[in-house]
Amino acid sequence: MQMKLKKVLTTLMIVASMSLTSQAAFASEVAPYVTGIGDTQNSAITALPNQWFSLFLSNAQDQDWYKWTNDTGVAKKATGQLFNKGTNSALRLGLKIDYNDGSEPTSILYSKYGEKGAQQTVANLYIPPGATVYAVVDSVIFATEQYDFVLFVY
Amino acid sequence: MKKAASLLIAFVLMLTFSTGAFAAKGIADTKESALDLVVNRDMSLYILDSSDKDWYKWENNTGKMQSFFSYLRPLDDFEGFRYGFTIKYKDNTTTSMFYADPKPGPAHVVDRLYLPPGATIYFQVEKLNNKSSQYNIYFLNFD
Repeated sequence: MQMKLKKVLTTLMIVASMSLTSQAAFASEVAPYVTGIGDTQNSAITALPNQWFSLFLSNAQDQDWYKWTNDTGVAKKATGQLFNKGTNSALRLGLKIDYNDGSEPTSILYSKYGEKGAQQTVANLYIPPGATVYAVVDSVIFATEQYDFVLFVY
Repeated sequence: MKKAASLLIAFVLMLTFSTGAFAAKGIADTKESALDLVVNRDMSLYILDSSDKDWYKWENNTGKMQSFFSYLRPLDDFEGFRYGFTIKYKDNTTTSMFYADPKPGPAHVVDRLYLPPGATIYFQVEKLNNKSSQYNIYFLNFD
């Protein structure tokens, strides 16, 4: 009986440590790059549509850039969603489009912002074939808090 | 000379009146009652307080894809303003509200966005505080 309990416990611990490890792996995968990756438009992270990103801004000036190019050959619409997992920071989400046709890119167009911890959405923007949409996350009130970001394309 | 002067006065009065009219709450306060933007004209208007919203619209009935340049230029308190827009496409889908960056100011710029034929863009001017302010708004579409 005791043996069995021990076994169950061990299994439990293995499962627990596995899930811990996978989390740790994710964190360590992300953490070293926080100040290095996606900090500018030129080094934007390629956002695969419908793929969630879990990151955090490292300081008040930090920006995280993402991009997606519409190479589907047809016009698409894009929606970006940003979930602030913390309650102390106020983040904002901006979109910018480069139509890649020689015209100047748009200015950055932001979700409304200023509320702490609130969800930010920018939705249904028209992305013609060949255009690149950039998404940028930055802070109005900074705190080291995790956020989740996703770009939906349809 | 007298005639010219009175004409001038009448003209000034008209201008004053039309500017004053926009300040009134109840005009262009909703998307549905949005005023048509006069293309390529810097319009000078007032906003009352945080409950007053001024809506403007422009519909792309040129039959072609159009780009545009637009700004909101508050004459004071530029960080207290928000310049937002939403686009209704021909297929009846509508974007969320987007906002220009209020910083560094004074102008809030929204530009270079493509408007497919049949799309209508609605601009919204709002104030975050209850200080009455004057602003200019400008819109110009191009191919």
